[in-house]
Amino acid sequence: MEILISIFIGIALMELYAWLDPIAEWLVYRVAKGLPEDRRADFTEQFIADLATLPNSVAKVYFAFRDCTLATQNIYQCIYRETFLSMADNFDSVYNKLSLFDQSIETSKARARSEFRLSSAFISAVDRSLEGLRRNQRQDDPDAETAIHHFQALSLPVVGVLSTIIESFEQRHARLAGLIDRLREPLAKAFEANQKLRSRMLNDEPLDDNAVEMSTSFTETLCEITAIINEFKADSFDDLPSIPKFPENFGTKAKAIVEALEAAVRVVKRPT
Amino acid sequence: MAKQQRPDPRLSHQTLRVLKVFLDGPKEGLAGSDIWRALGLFTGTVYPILLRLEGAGWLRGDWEKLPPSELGRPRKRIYQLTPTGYNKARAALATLDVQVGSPSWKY
Repeated sequence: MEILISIFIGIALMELYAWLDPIAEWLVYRVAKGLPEDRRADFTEQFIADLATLPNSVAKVYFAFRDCTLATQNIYQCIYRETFLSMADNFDSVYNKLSLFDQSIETSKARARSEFRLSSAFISAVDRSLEGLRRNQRQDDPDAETAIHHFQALSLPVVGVLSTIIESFEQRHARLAGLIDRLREPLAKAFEANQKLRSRMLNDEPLDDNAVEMSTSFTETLCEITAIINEFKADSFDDLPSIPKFPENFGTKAKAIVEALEAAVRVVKRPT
Repeated sequence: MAKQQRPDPRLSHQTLRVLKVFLDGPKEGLAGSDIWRALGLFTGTVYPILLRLEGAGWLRGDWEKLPPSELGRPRKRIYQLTPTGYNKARAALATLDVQVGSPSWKY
């Protein structure tokens, strides 16, 4: 009886041993299912190649059960970290671009104000002159009326273009500044979350629920920012007022306007 | 769109050890099993490092050209340092030598 049991156990052990290699391979395939789909085939093949380098079947099963499980978890976390780090890099790039955009809006506003000062002064000088001429114009003075009309005919188109330029610029500026204002808070929030997330992802400790929560919060803020930008693009981007060209030969036109004004003043002020 | 490569991978102690194996290793490259065996590390440590180095463009991984039937074993993925990886790995290890002396795994 004892001999029979020994033979039976021997056969069972041999049979089991013969099955260890396929079991190890099966385990590798099973464990590798935990990897992201696009990397699964690559790593499964690498694990199988590693398995083949091991000296015996028990080591293979042990490797498949323990090492491959750990490797799968670590690779998964590594891919997760790299994805978020890449997202963090992209966010930094977008953040820097938006910061530059914000600065350039402020700079262009300051520069435009300085450049528009002359135009604004010109517009208000024309308005004041016209008002003065009308105030001092005597009734039933056809010469004065003609002179004022000539001044008006020359100045109004130029004033019109200059006013449109200033108005269009201010409208554009207001809309773009509005976009930046809307983005300011979520951007600051995402910036802070990005810093925390980056340092967490660079920390080699295994990722836990807290890290996942941070990632979720970060992606939600990114979605909010994307929605604001998309909404702006859909509503306002094509609709931004175009800025007309500065009047050609402005110097010559301004000179003619000044001459027409001087002539009108002479006519209005001439003694009767 | 081309895959964006991260500028530089994190150079942890283990990453530097892996790079050292590549610098000292054969020109034709190394498989994952060569590295974890040489360093006595777990596959779970080595593969994420290889993944990061490959993602950063420091390593290039290629499958063996011959089919398993001709090789008589499963084909391996062979990793090699790229020229960038070679220069950066040498620079990183040289910096480490200057900062803390020769790495202990040399001995």
